[in-house]
Amino acid sequence: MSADTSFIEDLPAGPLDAYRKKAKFDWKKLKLVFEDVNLLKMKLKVWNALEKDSIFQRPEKELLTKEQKRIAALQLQQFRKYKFMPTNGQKASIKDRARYLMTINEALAAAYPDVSVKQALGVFLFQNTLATLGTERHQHIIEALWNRQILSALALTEVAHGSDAKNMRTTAVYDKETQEFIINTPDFKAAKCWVGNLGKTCTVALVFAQLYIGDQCYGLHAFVVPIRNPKTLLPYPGIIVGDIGEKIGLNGVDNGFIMFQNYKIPRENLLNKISDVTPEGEYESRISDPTKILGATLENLLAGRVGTMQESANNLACAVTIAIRYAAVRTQFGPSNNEELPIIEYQLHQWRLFPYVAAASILKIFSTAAIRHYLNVIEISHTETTVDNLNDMISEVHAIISAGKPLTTWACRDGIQECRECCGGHGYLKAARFGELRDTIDARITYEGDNNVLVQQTSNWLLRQWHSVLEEGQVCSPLSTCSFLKDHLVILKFKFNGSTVQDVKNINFITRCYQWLITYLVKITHDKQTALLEHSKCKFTARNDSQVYKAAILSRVYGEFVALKYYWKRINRNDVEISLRPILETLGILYGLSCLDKHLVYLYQGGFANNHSLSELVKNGILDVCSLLKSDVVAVVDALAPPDFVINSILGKADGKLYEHIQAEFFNNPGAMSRPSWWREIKVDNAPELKIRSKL
Amino acid sequence: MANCLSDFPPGPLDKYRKLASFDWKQLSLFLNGEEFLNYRNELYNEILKYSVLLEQTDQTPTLDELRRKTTQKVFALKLVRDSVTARTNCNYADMSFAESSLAYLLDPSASVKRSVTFYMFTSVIASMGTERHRHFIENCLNGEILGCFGLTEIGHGSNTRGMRTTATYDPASRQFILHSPDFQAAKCWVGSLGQTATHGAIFAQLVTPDGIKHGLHAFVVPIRDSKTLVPYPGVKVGDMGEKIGLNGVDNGFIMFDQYHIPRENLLNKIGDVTEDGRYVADITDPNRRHGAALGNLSDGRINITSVNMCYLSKAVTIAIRYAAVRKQFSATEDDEEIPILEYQSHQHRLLPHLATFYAFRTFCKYLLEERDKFQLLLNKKSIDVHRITNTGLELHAISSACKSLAGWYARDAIQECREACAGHGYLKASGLGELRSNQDVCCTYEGENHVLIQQTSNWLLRLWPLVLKGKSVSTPLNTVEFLNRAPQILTSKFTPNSFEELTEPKNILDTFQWLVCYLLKLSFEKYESLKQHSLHSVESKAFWAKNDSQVFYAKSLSIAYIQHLILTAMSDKISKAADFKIKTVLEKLFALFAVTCLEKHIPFLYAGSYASGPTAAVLIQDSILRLCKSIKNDAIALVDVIAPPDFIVNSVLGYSDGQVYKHLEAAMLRAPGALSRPSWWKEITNWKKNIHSKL
Repeated sequence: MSADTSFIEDLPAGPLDAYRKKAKFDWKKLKLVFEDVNLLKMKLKVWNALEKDSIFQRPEKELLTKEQKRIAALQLQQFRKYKFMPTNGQKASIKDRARYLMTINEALAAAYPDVSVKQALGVFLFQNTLATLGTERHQHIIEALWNRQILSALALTEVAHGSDAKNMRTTAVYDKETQEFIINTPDFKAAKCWVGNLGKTCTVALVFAQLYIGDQCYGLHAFVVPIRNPKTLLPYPGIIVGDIGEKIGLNGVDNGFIMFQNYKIPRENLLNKISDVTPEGEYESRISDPTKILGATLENLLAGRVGTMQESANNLACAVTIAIRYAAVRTQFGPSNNEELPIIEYQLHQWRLFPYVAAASILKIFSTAAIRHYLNVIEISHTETTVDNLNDMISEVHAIISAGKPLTTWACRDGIQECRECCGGHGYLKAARFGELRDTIDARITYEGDNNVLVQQTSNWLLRQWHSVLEEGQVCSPLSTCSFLKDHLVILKFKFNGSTVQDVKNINFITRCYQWLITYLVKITHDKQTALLEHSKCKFTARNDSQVYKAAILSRVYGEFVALKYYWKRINRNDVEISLRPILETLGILYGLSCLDKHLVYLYQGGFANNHSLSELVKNGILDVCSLLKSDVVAVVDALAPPDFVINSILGKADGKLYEHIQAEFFNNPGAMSRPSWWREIKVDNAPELKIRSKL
Repeated sequence: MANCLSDFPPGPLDKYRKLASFDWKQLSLFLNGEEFLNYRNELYNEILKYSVLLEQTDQTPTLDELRRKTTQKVFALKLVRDSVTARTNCNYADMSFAESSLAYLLDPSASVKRSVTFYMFTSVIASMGTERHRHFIENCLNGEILGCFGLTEIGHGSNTRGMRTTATYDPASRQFILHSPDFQAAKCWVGSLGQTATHGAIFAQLVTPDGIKHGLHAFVVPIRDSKTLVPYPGVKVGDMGEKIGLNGVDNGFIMFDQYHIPRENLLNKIGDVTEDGRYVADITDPNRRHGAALGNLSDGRINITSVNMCYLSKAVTIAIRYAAVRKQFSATEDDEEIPILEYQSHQHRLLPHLATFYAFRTFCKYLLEERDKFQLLLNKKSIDVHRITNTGLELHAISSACKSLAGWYARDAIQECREACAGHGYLKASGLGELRSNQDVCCTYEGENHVLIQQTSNWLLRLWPLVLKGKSVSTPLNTVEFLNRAPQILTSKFTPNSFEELTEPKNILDTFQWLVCYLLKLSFEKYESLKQHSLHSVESKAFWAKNDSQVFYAKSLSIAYIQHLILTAMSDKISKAADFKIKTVLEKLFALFAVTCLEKHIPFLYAGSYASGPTAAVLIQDSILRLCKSIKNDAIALVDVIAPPDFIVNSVLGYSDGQVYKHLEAAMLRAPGALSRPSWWKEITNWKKNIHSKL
């Protein structure tokens, strides 16, 4: 059975053809391994529409940030009008519907990250939170949202507290007399900040505040809070709201801050699914099934993180596309004076770039798998039937995503930087687009859960599994990402006894290494924590002082292992043609080996390798695989790459006409060849006649 | 003592300042010396006289406005330097580093532009021109003409031999005719060329009437009429548009269409063309001529090393001060919240970068002094040509590695600092974004790092045959004297068994000497074996063998070599410390930098059987954490020593008073229009009228 690839357009002919012809597979078929066919069609539909839409035309020159905000606001409104959802989409299951919405936002994010952030926060996250934490009395707000009558924001982070949500200081005190909540911000450190859409545009926000009845504090709760009059966009009295100003990137998003002064809202604005306050001022817990609530709450957090994973994998794909196409066309030096080589021919250049091509491939498939698991648990937690191990599944999905989001965003950060440097000076041009890609990924590293804090969730989960192995001899890993831990006695005895490059260039070796690494690291982290705990008697200290070289690496290694695991599962599905297997395996091995190269220290330290050749074999293995990949790599990026319109780089166009595009850019830049408007300020009146110009 | 250093305002940082184990002013004096501190103060006070240099904007201006402001700053900065240089008598090394630490941090665009406009242009003429070009230098330094420097072409950067702009001599008119055959041969990335330069030092292939190409030569080329700033006919010149950073610099491109310039505009020190069109040169070998033509690029690389370290110092200043003030989580609900600097993982993210600056600070001083001595040697026109050549080559090897390494260190430090400030680090007002965008270019200009660093290993690889033959290795700067003991070094083993033994300076230097010997031997053997077993044609075997021995071999070699040199310089400096407290803290920083570098080389220690068993790896990791912990209480004082003045720090997170939240509040509230509704508010409320689908 051969997949129908006819809907994928051919690429224009040009200087890249030389390498394209060398590929040993059909790039369109490979594309359908990286992408789900229906979702790809949906994304193409979105991109085609935006490419034709005048509001989405890219400006010729950088806009002032206030203008960027205006454009992004208008683009969001326009985007919300499009009906990209398939006609049966509205009736689809929760899971399919969510998948469609995520895909539409994914397409938007690849081309217009600012607009997608505005939509994700102001529409989806708001809607999800209302749906999971609110009740029927909030239904009308959701309807207004779907009717595009309001744009919202979600305010949690405060100026002085981000990761540490428990210590937030905004209060909502219940006033029995008026049946209202009174919201207050004690000082600027407690101002809500970084709230997307709050700076200029939203009319309503979800605000998290400490709920008080009398002197009693009941913890953080969410409230629907009106911010601006929708007719005039003026803020209501009692609040100070503003834009936090310019950022490194994503300047189309109006991130805002807000302070409340005795600001009153009706009692009903409390999102009351978990708990409520009666008109008389009694606090009532309404939790029926705690598992479901946990799932529901996590859903909101995880949606952002899996989305971030996918967008980051796409950004990385975009960056490697630009750098590989550039490397295949750009020539420099050569074995003799009259022959120059494309820089892709240099081993050094291959070693700098190809591991990121592999990473983009693996992480794209990994993020797709993570979304699938995420949507599965969401669907299960929405059904009426009780599933025994739902809690365990949720924990495992949470562990996967908590490792996956940092893994993907950091890989993307490093990959974009390497690609930027690999394009030399021309990579520094704004029109090469690396600057924007980097400024966008940069935000993802610290939002939706700061990476360094998030990885601790994964190691904590693994440590719990380890504990359970030691105590009960079993692990709770329904998705079996770490079920091998129960074989720890055998695994820890693994030794490397290979002697040739072939011994490391295979998935069995890589899997063995990872199983050993995870087991070893979870063991030493556990031992370290136990020792620290004995010494300090403080769990908090024990956990903090076992992160570096221990827990943090454990999460990373686990993330890489799971990514590879899902990748390998995908490429062995029977819809993958035999002709594609070699290239897919090559990419997987390259990813595995280049990740392992960074963990060699542990393999030596823990006695996995006594043989001093391991390091050399792994390094030679990487170089071998790189040279193998050289003739296929242009076709691999063709499979990874979105259309030119989305890549939006003069160095990375599919036609490979590098210098023509640079020339067009230079010659067409507004004012490129005219003297500056302020030329009189620098002209030299007493300039000497140097007689150095020729008289013709 | 140290009256050139003033106290910091009180505030939340006091707690850590009081914990410091040493007097920060003493350390500053020891590290920098009085001459440097005085010069820097002079510079600082002079800068304060120019309001244009002190302007701060909350909002990124338009590109055109940014260019205009930058150009004003270029002239102001030039006046600052002229005036301070005229009244003080400072040595080159201190002056150069002070410039980096103030001007480049104050406004990187203006500093880069000032440098190309006035100094690069004139230095090319000084080193490659003769008496007949002296007036260009004078006119330029007087500000009557504005220079630029054009080498890179669209299609060729690193490979300078492949450049295709030609300068063909026409005996009839006694002129050179400059020509760009196509867009790929356009000169590009030329700083100041985009909008402002009136003259350029342009490199082109010199062609004599007989059609023979004589290689790259530099020419003084008039570009724009300095009275109108309109380009002359025959040149097509333009601005390259927006970049990732340094947008105040008008990088330009230029194409020549049979553009005539007088014969005398050839910078004729290495070669000249007679009026009738004969080429005459002292150096007959074209390869050596090529080297001579591009020989004076070491200076730029040495300066970029300092500039990178100053960028790094600003980043760690911001992130460490923020870490001391920002609190998050507590051990139990009743405890106070803990400054994030107290967390092991946070220390590990930031403190090694602080150590990097200290290591490079002494190294930069050493290197700038060596460079200055070399300049004296050149000026003397000493007859010891051999010594001049070898010193030049060794300086080239050093500067090629340290420029690359400093670029990578600064890049990684800035990124880590940005992430360590989490959300607030993403604000423009944190200053870290701009720092990153401006630093970024350091990794690819003035020699793309990965290509450039090969110069260092090439130089080292030429020395190894001497070792093999048992001959003595002697280089003018003595940076690899230990190679004479290579056979013994290669049989030695990693012996430290404790933290104290590992961090002992002698043991550290021994380990790095082993690394350099091992990697040199390995790279040499790899190269030879690749060449021997190569399937490529005879003439291209060496080319491929060189290329295929870079990854894991030659690149690591260059890095280990320069790290050893940096550590040696720092160790020498520490041995001169009289104050015990200062000595102790510097020893910790030395050890932290060394062990952090060593960590990356651990696989080599095992692969080369220098280490075996778990000890080495465990010891190295544990030592890093231990050092971080023991430096933690000194971190703020160490930052105070290296921090630029507040108006240059210019970050709401990093001011010396530590009032992070007050500055954040002020920045958010003062941003123009922060609290007002957008001017386009009606487009939102009436959006249904404004937006129409075409579909």
